[in-house]
Amino acid sequence: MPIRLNLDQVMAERGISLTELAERIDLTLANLSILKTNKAKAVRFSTLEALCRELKCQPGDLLEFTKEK
Amino acid sequence: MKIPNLARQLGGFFQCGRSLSVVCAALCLIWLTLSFFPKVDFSHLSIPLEVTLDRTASSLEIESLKLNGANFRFDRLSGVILLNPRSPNPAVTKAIHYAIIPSFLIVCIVSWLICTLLRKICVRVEHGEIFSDTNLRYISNVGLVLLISPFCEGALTLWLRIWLNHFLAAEVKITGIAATLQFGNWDWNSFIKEVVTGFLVLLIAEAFRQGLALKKENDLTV
Repeated sequence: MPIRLNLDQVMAERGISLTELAERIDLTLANLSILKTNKAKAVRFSTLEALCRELKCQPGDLLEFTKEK
Repeated sequence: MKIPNLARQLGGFFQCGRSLSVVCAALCLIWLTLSFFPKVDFSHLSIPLEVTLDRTASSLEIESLKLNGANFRFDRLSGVILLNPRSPNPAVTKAIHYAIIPSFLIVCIVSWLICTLLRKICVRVEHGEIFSDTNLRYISNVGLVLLISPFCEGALTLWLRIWLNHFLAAEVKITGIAATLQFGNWDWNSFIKEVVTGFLVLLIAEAFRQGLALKKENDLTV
């Protein structure tokens, strides 16, 4: 998919685990894992807002557009 | 009105239909080909027949004195011919075997297929699996079977006409009136209804497919 979510990179920079982040943003571990592995088809604004709030970043830090070859 | 355990009840109904198709096919094959059953009066086969009256001076006509300019012409008579599958006449048994057995088998196969597919859908719905690729495939297959079966029936009707008309021309004579004898009549109403039903089910399957795609997208929306 051309739009990638660099969640694992930002999480590593902030030093936060998947379990802890899931608890903070009130998301299940399974759904957060779907985001992390880039299997998600769409992301709600409310989820994006919660991620940016807890990871203290901008949406552009999480989302990246890559041209598919 | 909500019917409790509808999926389970329908599944049982289709299971009965499936078993009945197999039993009917087996019994009729045995009845037609072997002589296990005692000879009883209702063992005759009823075959629809149509007599077309030639349009000659001797055709039946009724004139109405009250309705000016209206008259009624009888050009077709319908009825049934009774054939005994255990007739000593080899022409009769051959006509029955070559004409009836294939058509009856096709009807049983189509019934068995539809009942099997619908029963599988009911079992899956009962277990909570509603929107799935497998159910979609079953519904599409039901639509295809319903769409193909009227064409198979048409081909069988043509086959029956060839065999039974050949038998009737050789073995049956009509005296007293100028007429030709032919088997049955093509039912356009039934054909159109079955084709439309097949297309309807395929349309439902397409709606199901799009719903399934939306569900998958929704499942992967976080």
